[in-house]
Amino acid sequence: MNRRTMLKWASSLLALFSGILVAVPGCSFVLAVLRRRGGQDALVQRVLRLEDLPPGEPVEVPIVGRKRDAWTVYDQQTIGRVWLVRRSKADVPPEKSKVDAYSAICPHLACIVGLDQEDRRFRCPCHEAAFDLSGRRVPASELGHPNPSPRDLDPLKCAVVHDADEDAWWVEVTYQRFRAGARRRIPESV
Amino acid sequence: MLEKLRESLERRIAYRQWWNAYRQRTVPGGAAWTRASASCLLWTLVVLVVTGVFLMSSYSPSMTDSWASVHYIEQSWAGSLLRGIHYFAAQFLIVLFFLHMMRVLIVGGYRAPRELIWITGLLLVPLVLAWAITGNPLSGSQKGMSQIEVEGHIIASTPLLGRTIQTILIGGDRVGNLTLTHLYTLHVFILPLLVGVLLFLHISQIYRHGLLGPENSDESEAVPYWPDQTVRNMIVLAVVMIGIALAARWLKAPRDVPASPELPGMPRPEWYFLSLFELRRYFSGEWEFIATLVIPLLILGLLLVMPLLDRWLTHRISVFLRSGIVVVGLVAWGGLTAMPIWRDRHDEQYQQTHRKLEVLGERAWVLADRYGVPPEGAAALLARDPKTQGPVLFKLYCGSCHPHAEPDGTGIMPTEPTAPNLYGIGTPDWIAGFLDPERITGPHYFGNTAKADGEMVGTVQEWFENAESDDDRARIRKQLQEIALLLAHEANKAPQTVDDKLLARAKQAMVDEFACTDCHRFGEEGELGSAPDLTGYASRSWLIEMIRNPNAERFYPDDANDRMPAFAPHEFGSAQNQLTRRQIELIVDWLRQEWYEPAPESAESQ
Repeated sequence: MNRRTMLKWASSLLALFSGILVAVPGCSFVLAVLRRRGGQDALVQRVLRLEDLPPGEPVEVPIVGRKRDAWTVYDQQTIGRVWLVRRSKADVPPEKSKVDAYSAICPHLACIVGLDQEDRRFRCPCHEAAFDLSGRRVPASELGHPNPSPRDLDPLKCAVVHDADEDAWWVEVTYQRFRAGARRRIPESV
Repeated sequence: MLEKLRESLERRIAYRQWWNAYRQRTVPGGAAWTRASASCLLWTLVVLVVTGVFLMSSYSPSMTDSWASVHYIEQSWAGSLLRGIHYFAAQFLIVLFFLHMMRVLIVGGYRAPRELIWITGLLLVPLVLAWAITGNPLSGSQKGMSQIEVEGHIIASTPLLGRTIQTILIGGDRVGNLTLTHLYTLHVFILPLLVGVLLFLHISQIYRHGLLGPENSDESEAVPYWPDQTVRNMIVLAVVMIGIALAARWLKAPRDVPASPELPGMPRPEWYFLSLFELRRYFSGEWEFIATLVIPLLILGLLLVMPLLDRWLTHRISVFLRSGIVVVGLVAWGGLTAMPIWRDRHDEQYQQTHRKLEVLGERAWVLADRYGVPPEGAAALLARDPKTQGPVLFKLYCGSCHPHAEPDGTGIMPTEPTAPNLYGIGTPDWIAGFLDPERITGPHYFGNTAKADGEMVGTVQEWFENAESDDDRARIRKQLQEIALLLAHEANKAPQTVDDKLLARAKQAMVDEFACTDCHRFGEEGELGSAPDLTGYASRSWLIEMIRNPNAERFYPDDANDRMPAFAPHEFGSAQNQLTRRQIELIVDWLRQEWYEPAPESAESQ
């Protein structure tokens, strides 16, 4: 190894060093989002008074919570949407009333599932995934095309609770979020 | 003198070799209009970059500022035109791109030694489409953000690296600030850089190999490119530019509703992706990536290997294959694009949502014109607008009992109304309904409530039963009309024509003739506790307090309250209240029809 070869090697290595000085933080910066997985797993919230929920009629309610968007923190933002269906008739006492809750986030590609009043089913405006009022996928034969959703609507824990201070009955939902496009229900942070 | 200047410049920067490279270009077979597609494409791209740089000087990529900065840009005729040119030039670019590609395919311009021109050109296809995908959400519109949300999930559904790429692209779990900054970086730097590099290679290869002659030969008579072909290029470009400018001036770039989690999604891709949107429909679940990724890549791959393929095919088969690709491609693309358009046009729910978002977009624009955008972002404009939020909140919290039905029957109607119709609350006609024996027992007032046979109803009926003649009844009606005006005056909803004499007369009638103040408090007359306070009746503060707690002594204490809940009986801010101060204010302002409306445009203004 003579002097010139050594100088050539040194040039390349030094250049490499300067490059690494920038490339390492650069890559780390871009890939950082892959590591940052904060947020809570589930949010329990009283969404509606039982008396505001007519039996048998699906009602969509927002889930409101604190949201962090990179550098901005929102105190009260809609972070989710839920469909409520009161199964029990109006004369059933509140402590025995049954209410079902479904996440309105479509399991296909996370659009918001709407309600098709005419056909009495849930329908997603993005790619027409459809579900009956119990959240089950409508089969392709009824739909006329393959149902894009990989699974049924995600059911959420829902209870009717009593507020002693006000003597009022509330519908309480445990809001969770699940991965879009997956066949199994994989929880993600809310 | 000029000659000396030129010599001196030439000596320093040697410009003549570059100028000569252009001057020496030839067009075999003579200048042709169809050859203008390439130049037109290039200069449309330059227009996009230049307008883009101008827009950059005023645009801010964040969830709170993007829509606001776009609204700001649109305030001047120059900004609006620049944005319009940028938007329509992008649409034109995509059309021109594919026309140019088809032309080159048909004439066989991909053959040796021009393969690299073809390949660099084809590699530009995904880049230009990525340019469009990254550009659309930058407006901060609900449409744009829905698009990138869905597109992100489509990327995530690609097996193996899909989810990783999606997370890096949108900057985390959810679309948000980082998504916009990432898209912006791609859109204004990384993609232009890559396109620039490929274009440089593309064009230097064209200069190196020259233009392809007709009939697949390079030996036809070569006419100088400059100025014959150049002038045709410039004419076509001028026509395209006029088209773009007209579209920018009259159609305008989209003014969509700002992105907000409260709004329904409006998830349709741009027109150039509708064919893939439709194709995706025929694949279920985890196989969708075949439609969105595999098939486009296969088509791209087929085109990429055309130079290779062509070597083994006879001339006739090659022409057949190429024409076939173009024809089949156009028909398939056209059909697949037309189907979702046709289907959406006949989808009532889609049309309704589309119209609703259009209306909201116009409303947001009008509010931004008037109030500017608050620091929380444009979504807050609609969130604080009584006209927008009133009906939503009313439907959710009041609408299971109270109708808000307009005289023509439209509006909010519960399946089982059990409370008065609040449409027009505080207006003279609405109040007059309580003072009319037929209306007060009707479905719009107490008819469906426990008060249908209560004291108020009885009292009103008595007035008319005790009347001795038609004249008497007419007098009573006139007096009650004036009382209604007086109470509407309390609500600040009486017409301007109401004078003090009428008010005094009506008050006299209330106290003496009809004995209202025997039960109702009104000013200094009467007491609270047996009937709602008529002081400030249906005014903004009266309604706010009523909704907060109808059980208060001022309204319907003890058993007088039929069944209306107290929506905020505790201090505002308490978590035990069902509604916040702002929510109640939105409902009240909406009920009182007090929201901002722009003055009707009398003169033409943009």
